[in-house]
Amino acid sequence: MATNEKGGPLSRRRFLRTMAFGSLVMASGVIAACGGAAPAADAPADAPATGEVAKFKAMYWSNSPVLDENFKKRADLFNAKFAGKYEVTIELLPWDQYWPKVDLAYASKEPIDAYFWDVQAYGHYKQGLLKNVQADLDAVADFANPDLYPQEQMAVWKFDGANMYAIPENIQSMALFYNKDIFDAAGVAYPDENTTWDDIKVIAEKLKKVEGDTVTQWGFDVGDLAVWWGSISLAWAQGGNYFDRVVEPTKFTMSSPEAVSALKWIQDMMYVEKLAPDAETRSVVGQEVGIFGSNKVAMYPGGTWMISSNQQLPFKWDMAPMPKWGENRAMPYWFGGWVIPKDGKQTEAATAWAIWCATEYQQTMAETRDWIPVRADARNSAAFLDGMPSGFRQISDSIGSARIGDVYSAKVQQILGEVISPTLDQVWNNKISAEDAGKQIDEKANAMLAEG
Amino acid sequence: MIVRRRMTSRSRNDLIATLFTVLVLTMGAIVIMIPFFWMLTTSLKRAGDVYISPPQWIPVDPQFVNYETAITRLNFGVHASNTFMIVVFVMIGTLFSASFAAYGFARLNAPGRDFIFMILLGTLMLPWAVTMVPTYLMFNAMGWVNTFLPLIVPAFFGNAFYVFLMRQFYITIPRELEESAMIDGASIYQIWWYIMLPLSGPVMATIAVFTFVATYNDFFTPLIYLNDESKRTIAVALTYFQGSPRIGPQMHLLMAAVTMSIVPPIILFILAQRYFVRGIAMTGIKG
Amino acid sequence: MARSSVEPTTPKRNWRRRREAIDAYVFMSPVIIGLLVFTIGPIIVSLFLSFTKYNLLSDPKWIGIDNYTKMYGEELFWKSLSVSAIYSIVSVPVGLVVALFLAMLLNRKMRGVYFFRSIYYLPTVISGVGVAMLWRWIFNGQYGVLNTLLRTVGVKGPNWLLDENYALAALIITSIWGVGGTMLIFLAGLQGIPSELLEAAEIDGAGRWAQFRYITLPMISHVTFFNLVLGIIGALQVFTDAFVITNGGPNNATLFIAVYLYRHAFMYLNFGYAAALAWVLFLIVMLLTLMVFRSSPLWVFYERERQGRS
Repeated sequence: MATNEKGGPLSRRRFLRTMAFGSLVMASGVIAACGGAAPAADAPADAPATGEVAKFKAMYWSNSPVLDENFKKRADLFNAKFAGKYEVTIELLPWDQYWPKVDLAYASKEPIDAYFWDVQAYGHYKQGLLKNVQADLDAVADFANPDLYPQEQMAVWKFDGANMYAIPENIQSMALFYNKDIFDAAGVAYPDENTTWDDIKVIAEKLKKVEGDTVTQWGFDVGDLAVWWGSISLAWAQGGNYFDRVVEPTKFTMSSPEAVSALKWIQDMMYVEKLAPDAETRSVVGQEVGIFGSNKVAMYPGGTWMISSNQQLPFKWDMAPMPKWGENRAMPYWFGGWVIPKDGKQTEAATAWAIWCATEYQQTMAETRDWIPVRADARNSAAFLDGMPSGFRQISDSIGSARIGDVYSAKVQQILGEVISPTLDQVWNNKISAEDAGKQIDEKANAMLAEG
Repeated sequence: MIVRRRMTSRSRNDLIATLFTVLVLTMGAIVIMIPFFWMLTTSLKRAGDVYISPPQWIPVDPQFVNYETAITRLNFGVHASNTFMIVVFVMIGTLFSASFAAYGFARLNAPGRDFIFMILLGTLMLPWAVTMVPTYLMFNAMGWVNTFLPLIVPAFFGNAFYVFLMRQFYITIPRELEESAMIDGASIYQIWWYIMLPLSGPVMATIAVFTFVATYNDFFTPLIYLNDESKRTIAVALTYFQGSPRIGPQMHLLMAAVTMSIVPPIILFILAQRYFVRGIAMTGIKG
Repeated sequence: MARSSVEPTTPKRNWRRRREAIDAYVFMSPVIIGLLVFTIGPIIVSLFLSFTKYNLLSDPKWIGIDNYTKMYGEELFWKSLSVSAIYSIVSVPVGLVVALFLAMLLNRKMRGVYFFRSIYYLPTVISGVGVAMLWRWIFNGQYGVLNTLLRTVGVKGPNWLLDENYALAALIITSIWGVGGTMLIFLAGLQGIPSELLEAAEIDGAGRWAQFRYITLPMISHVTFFNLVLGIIGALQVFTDAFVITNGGPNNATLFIAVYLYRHAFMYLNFGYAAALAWVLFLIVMLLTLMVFRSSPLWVFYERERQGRS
């Protein structure tokens, strides 16, 4: 304390003054706190009273400064449109802290009114905490229109087989990103919808450049194939899968021939054919943004969420659909969307927000190009496509054949964290073979599923 | 004669030792500073120059605008004032409670005193995750979530480590001072206030720096208890540039923000450093 | 008690004692209230939760000691114990040695010593998530500054954070970097050694090593003890670095017990199990601390023993 350092005894008056000031500020803090908390907590109890503004909170994880800012603008749009009726406040948190906070809110019996979906929310469904939003969706005719909303894909959120428990607003998939400058310089034709995974090896060979014993340009990078939800599409394309079903799997099948061959293809690209940088070389902070951005990788399969980041790259690039395995192509998709706790204090307002995001806001979402709108007319509008790489349209059009790249089970986070990710890491580091990895994963994961 | 020869050889030895010391310290200082240097250069790079190999040691075209961007994007002023508000109260609370309680532990006898002290020290060994959820639920029930109270109020009720430091310090103070004051009719509270407190400047400065740093850098507590963005502290706000698992961080902006965020603790340390070592030396943990 | 200099009659002495006890409780009241309100309650709740199945989402269900027995069969529990153990066994002693070495260098009277002290203390001033992110960046196998430096001296650095064999080493390096706090405490201890002692030893012909071994070390054994206890407590609870820099990977090579605990608490929604883990961790820390306390008569030189001098 500064007063102490002067050495002389503190005068009592000065002490009292400090304390009085302190307690004053403290008291005002308490009052402000109560003032701030009370209306939010009490008003909703008798919420839909006419004329009262229903204030609620929507939570999402933060992505990047630009995306986050547009997200807040979205909230402003909503609040302007529903002025006097609804008012949303946004809370953005890093992904790692997002779920603990959502769970703590449940633990304190004050769930967050609306929060963004990810597989963790399935655990909330399992506990019976999520609102069944089927009736709300039924009330909006457009949702049933297959030309506007991908019906088959959306059905994945009918966890009980009949009712939706989340409202989708954007959709993601995977594509083959390629560096046009590198292709042009080598005079190699761009990949397209007919390219197969075998072709990839041929093309990658042509584009690889070696100086001495260091590779200065790679023809391929495994990109998101290094994650299970990326590599699974290689197994799908061969008619296989990693587990028996998406919702409540009873069995992992990573030792099946198709799954093993998917893992082996990726491992071989790095360590046998040596056409892609190995795990050590591709060590880049964050994701593949660096390695593709380095202008030393000709192509990589990656998530469509990278489009906006890649648009800042200083070279020409484009995208093609995921390559085919022989005759078959498989591509994954994921939804972004909202879940609403059934015991939330503002379920009506929160549902209105989610539906507004999935309908009216879609065109604005298309214009900001932050996310790929789930609604087809927005996704295929000129406003959206003009800012997209030319290969995007093809990917957008084939969404109808995409398969969900998720798996839903209360135990799945632990299985992914304790079994699948560490074992796959060993494959990517060439420590174990694809066969052994498949066997190990099945053995441990199935044991964990069995113990429930 | 013998003594004399030893003296000359000793001064030569001293010179060599000093040179050696300076050399080692300089090398160590360079190693220590590398991460800071790297932080600084990264904070001045263009986004595209961050991930290139071989890395640029000195940015080709220093982007001071990164700092401006970080400040405006972050709303730095708001987070800074929140942080300082919290830090000031935590410091007041910690200094008051540590010095007050420590005096009881150091000087006054009461049944169960040592038992209470043991329990207090035992809390140092408690992993924070054990009590986090029950504590959250408690503060939530009190209506304190989304206020600064859960961050500030506990500081007024004693932190084991600082109480321990203060107690060790009080023990080293000779009792004669207190005894003569008592003969003059001073109450024990007056003795604490007029005699013990003024003696504890350097120890208080030490505790103040420790408290400042710990509170300033605390990430989880404000993250868990504060909801509104307008209430966040600097440590939490820094995550703004961290990106998501699928979209990587904005490294140049993150580093600019981190660079700015470390300025206040550094200034405080430089200001307090004269008292600092002395303060630690004055507590019981000296040789 | 020093205050009983006047020999009082028995009832008066009782009164005095009671009076003193009341004053003591008043002084200790912040701590007592704090313990009762903010600590004991949550501790009891967490102990209770450790005997339940609790996922934060629905009410806890009593399952007896299942969480504790389950732990025994979990491969990753033992893995996390061994990671934390290796980390502590290496980082605590190395940290102490480095800190003491630096403190001895900084204990000289020379120009610029304040400057150096500030620099060495800097890393502890700025710990936090931002710095952890910085480390991730520094250890990057390809672009990182560490390997870039190693390359200039012709060493091909490992891929620190993605290599099972080096990730833990990388975290130990970061812990050594932040050794400034320990160093300052040692420094304070060194300054408490009366210089006459060392001078006398020198005149008696003791070499530098002998001075260090027979005077400095015993005279600062208190400080070493203090730093050792804090070091053990700190090392076994390391969380932020492991969480932000490596997130437990690769292949669980840095799965510290606190990270394992966090995952179960907040990612796998096994909060009951996490609470049980926390209690086991608490017991381990307490046992180790007690062991250090027990061993202290063997090597800690007590002030008492030389009190006659002053």
